[in-house]
Amino acid sequence: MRTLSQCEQHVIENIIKKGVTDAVNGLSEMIGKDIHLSELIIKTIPAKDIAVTLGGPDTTIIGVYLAFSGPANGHIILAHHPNVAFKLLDSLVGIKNTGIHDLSDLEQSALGEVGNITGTFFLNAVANALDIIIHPSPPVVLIDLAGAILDIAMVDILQEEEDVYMVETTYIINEYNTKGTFLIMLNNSFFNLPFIVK
Amino acid sequence: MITTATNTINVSLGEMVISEDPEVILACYGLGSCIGVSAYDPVNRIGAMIHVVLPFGNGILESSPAKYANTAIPHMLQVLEKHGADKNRLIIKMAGGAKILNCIPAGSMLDIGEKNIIAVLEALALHKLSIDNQDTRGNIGRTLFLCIKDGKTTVKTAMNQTIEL
Repeated sequence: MRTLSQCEQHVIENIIKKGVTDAVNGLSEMIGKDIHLSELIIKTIPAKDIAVTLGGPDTTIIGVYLAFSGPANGHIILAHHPNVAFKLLDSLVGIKNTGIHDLSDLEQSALGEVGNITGTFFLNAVANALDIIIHPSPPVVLIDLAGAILDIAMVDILQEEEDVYMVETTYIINEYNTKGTFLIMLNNSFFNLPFIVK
Repeated sequence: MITTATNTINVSLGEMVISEDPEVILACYGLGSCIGVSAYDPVNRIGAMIHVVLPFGNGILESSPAKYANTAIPHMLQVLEKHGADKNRLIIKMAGGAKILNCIPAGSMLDIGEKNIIAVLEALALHKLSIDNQDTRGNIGRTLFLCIKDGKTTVKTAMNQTIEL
């Protein structure tokens, strides 16, 4: 990863903050609940440590995965503990939690839409700020070990880097008093963009 | 059944761990397309585990040899032999190599799990070795455990299914 100037770092962080705030607001609007952005961490960490952000590599999560491509490439994972994801499903489509199970088409579709809204709100903010076009992939909903879901992004990023530039956002869904994680992992192409905000 | 013990050592992405301590359990947690390979010498009771991420290096990075299948296997064999293990006695098992995203066509360029499996088998074949047992492919994440005391190798999935290899 090329070394960024202090000014570039500042620009990137501001763009990311705006994108994350938009994403969380979009999620709040979609599920009709107040969401409080509790933590936003932007950092570079060794790839082997990234699973800690999702509770450790052997933690079972329900994740919505999106890739994005264009002048900037990367990966987005919206991760929830299964119990939290089932609460979201209850409020979205009235499906009650019946314990960890393979997700039905309706459950996958509803959670996919949650990822879609969150991801595209974030990407729109980034694309607008940098005046570029970014293409998100369709969201994929997965219930699996955090490490296994992260592997999807890691095999891309680790081809060029040992470390991962990541944005970890923790938000609290007030009514549920519980949290989710919005994880963005950027690959090298992002850092080759001219960081001139229009 | 293996429970999480204080002496369980996490073999992270691109790492190799070797142990002769009978109290130790080696573990590759949350394997998706990555592959955990364990090798155990039942006479000397020494074992090692690698967490392979990619089939081959692209020459851009100076990485840990355990990150790539083609360098991880010879590295693990070399270190085990250096610590007294006999290559011909090794019981070798692997888990992982899944295609977590169903939308990726099997065997395509993007099917890194399958490429990892093939690269591990090829690297072992170069040393006239093969896999004794495996739990690979499919579209589920796995955790691989190797108990140094008795060589027992176990795989656990997100749905809490446990199988002994």
